[in-house]
Amino acid sequence: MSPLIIVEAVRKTYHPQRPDAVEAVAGVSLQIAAGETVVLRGPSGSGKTSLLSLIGCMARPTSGRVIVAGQEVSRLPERFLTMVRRRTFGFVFQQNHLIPELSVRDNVMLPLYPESVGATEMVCRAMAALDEVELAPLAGRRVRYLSGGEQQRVAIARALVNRPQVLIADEPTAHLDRRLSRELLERFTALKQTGLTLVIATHDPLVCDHPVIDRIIDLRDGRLDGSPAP
Amino acid sequence: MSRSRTYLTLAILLLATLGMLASWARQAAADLDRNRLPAMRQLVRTLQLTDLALWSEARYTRHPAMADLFSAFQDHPGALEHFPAGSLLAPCGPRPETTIVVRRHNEPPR
Amino acid sequence: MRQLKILEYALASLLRRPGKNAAILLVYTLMVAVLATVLLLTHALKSEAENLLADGPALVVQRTMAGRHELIPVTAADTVAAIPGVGKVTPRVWGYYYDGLTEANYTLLAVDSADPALELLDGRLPQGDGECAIGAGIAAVRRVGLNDDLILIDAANVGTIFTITGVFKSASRLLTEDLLVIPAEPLRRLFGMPAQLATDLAVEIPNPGEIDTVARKVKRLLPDARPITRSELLRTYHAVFDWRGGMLLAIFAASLLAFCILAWDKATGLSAGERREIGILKAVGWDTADVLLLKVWEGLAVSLLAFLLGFTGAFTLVFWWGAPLLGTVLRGWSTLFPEWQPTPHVDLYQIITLAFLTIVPYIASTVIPAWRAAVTDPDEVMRQ
Repeated sequence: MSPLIIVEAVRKTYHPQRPDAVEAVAGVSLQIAAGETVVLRGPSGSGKTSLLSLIGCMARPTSGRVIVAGQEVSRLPERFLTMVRRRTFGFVFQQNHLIPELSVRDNVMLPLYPESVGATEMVCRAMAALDEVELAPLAGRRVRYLSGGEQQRVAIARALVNRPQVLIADEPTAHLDRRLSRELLERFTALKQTGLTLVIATHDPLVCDHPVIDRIIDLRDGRLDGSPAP
Repeated sequence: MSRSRTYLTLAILLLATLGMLASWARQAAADLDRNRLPAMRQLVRTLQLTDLALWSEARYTRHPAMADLFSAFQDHPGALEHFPAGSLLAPCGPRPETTIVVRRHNEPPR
Repeated sequence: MRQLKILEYALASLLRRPGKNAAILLVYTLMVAVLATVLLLTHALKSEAENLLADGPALVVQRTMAGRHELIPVTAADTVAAIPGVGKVTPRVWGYYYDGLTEANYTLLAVDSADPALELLDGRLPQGDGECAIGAGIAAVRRVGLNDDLILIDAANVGTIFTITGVFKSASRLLTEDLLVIPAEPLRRLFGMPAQLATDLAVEIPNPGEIDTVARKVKRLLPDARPITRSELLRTYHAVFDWRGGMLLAIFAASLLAFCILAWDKATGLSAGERREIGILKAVGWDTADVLLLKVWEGLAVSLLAFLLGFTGAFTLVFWWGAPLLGTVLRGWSTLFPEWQPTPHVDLYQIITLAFLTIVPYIASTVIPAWRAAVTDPDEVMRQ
């Protein structure tokens, strides 16, 4: 079976015209199979977050290709790229990036607005996603009043509400204590069993050593560790 | 969707109100034109009137179109009024309450 | 469906800052109401003047001497009547009379009409010496009515008594408020005007297309004459009311400027929170068009509501309540000022122009600052 995600020699340079241009990803190639749980490991500044953005269609590569489910997405028009991102990927950000003034349910519903889904269906799907993370009783509460762990579960529910094929998590345990980190990994295990592909960027050994992880890809200075510099 | 429905209902209601006011205006104007305008025009024709009786304090305010060429308004449409009437607000002050009753010689008082 | 959902989100977003947005809505509505009041009232005044005076004399010929108005010889009427295209030429005798008792100016007009009855006249027009018809304003201020007597002081400082044979009805106040109608002979005696002179000539011209031509011929034949056409008369009223409306708008400009500064402040920058929110929306799958549509709805929701409320309020204020505040300023005042209810006139072009000028800039001020954040890759927005 062909891989779900193929990354071919992608590079990403931020602010290429400016003197402070940064090459965050310097020629990375990898493949991720459907249902696989992969960790991108590396120290800060190694390009993990940038590579996640490229895989998840959040940014376009400066050069190279990204192929998702057999379709090259790197040069798609913005509207189609957004649609691919919305329907294929669910994102859990390092900072969660929830809207604090909105309720839990309203935050989870955000990805559904651009979809052809009615208002009632939106609420149903949001509540279903909240059920998966055991937060349905807090649906009406404002996010600002939740704990860090609860907020992260809201972020996971939001990532799952569109029933994606891939869940991308950037440093998911960065703000969690060990107990909550373990709970999160249990949740990832349950999601993996539903067939979800997981791509996690982290340098937390607790995550890297967990049995749910199928493969670890090491990054250093925007390159796969061990790969030669150009 | 309650907020969007409420807003759209309000907007449609206001538009409908505006529409009703517009059609009332059209109706009222037509009624007035039918009932009042012929009589007013008869007055204008019979008396050969050229101006509205709005600002009666000076010749160039009572008959602005027919006033002397040198008078204030004729200088420039934006010239400031030199004469108080026809200006923006009336000055405060009491109005005279004195009246004159005219009685002919030998006519008994009313 | 998508539009409704994004509108829902836009309204939720506005309601998250209820105080600020309510204040903007209130100020915006007041601005629209004031602007609309001025426009509606000015338009009503201009339309009224045009409708009423359309049947006035086609041409009025005055005489000038040393640049000032002078009485015109009655014989000039024959000269004008001889011009081809001219119908009847009537020498008019009229003038002003200052009443020291009431500190009001009356307009005295001579009329020798075959038909003494008029629909807007209670009683009849005067037909002989010692008779007059008066406007409702004079009747009110002098506290006289039909068959009462009125005393006027003539040019020789002698009092003359006139019996009131007719009082113009209230409905005609706009034309007759300060009018006092007397037959020509008594009026000449009152003014001390010689018989061979008149105030001006009223000229009837059956073909409206010939008015300007006749005016030019009059000027040629009577070099010291000043012909005034009906269109010039009407244009003057347009200018007067536009000027008054403009004065009001000039005073209002300070508030308008303050509102523009508010909108500009909004337009020149997105707050960090707003930028972050756009980044989150893009990150969870909203594309640029969705984000911009959200901003359009945010702007439209406020501006459309403000326009509809403001315009409806202004319309009701002007045509139902006679514009109690701004109307006084717009109409002006005088000692004898006619009460007048404006006739409702709706100019669709005006409404559309006002809507365009009030709604579009506000939407622009909401959309433009969001544009940069909306088109940026969500990845870059999230890093800011």
